[in-house]
Amino acid sequence: MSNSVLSVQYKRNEEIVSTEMDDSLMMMSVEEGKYFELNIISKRIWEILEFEKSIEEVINQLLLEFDISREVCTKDVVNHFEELETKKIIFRL
Amino acid sequence: MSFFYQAFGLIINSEIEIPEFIGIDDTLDVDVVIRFTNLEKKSSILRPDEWFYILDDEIYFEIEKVGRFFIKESSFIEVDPFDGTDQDNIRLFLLGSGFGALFHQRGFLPIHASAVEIGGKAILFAGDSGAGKSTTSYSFYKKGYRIISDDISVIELRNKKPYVISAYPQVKLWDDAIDKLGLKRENHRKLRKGEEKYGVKLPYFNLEDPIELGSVFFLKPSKVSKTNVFEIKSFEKVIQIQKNIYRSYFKKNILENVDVFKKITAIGASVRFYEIERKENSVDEVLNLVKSKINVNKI
Repeated sequence: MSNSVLSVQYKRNEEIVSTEMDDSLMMMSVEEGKYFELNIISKRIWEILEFEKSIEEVINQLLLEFDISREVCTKDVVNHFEELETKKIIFRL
Repeated sequence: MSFFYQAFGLIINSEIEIPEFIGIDDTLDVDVVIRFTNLEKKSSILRPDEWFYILDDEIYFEIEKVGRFFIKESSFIEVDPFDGTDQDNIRLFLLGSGFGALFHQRGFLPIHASAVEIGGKAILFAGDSGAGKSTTSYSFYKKGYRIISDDISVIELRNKKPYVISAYPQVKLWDDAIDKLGLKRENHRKLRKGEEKYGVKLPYFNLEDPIELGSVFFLKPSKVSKTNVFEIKSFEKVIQIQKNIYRSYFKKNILENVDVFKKITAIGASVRFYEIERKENSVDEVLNLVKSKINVNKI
């Protein structure tokens, strides 16, 4: 994974409305009127992104919380970021 | 003539007599006015292939051989009966789609479900027509529990917690349900000529404050040999509530409405949802399964 990808800063889409439900997070994109469900990992990423962070900073945080290798975590988190970005839940700075 | 009622937590002043509702003394403090109005002009812009339209916040609908209905300003239900219709027909659509439209205008969330108070909480029974919502709630009623609402349950949020509002003391039951529940058809009024559905009055009813929602059961008739219950979680809850919003098409872009999302998710986040896959004639099993799940919730 190139460092440039990992160093990109992200922030939350502030237009998202969310409610916690049964360990997942329900979201609604106000602009698009769409509903989303975030699983535990995406939800944690969303929480960590309360303040602007790079993917790498998020990975470092998750490595403290979950017992997984950096390699697996990086792959997983990058995928989650892509998905969250496609759904316009988070934005690149 | 004008009548005063309380139903769905609202004070209603109506030119139409509504014996289903609980009458109250005259008052100036009225939330909703029901009146006769000539609605021919409203009708003229209805597209021939449609039965309703929404213009700004106003809702117009028309029922063949019954009449025209117009709901506006979250407070007025105007009715223009067609020649030859009868009061029963008018009331059936007034209490159904008419109030459904009003609830959406007022920002209430009406769910196609019946509600019973069990253990101090409102238990909702949702499902398609014929799924057994009213039969289940009436069976609880016979065992001494209080019915809060039948067919349409209005949810209100207080401090992000969902509450169910007391509706009015009537349960609608099909002929076969009437028989199975040991009621006599001749003692009850047919809701509409030519339809075997009856309005069963409830002698015990109170217009208490809204009752906090306890759990939600979705009834699903099935060909299974044994009636089953299973819990549904997270996104499936959201989908199930969406599907059961009463007359959701009366609210423009309902799913894009933040307030509706907040209500739906507040319900989902506050209470447990179950699906009951029920075989035919399984009221007692359904009651037992419901009770077993509610006890779990009490922990």
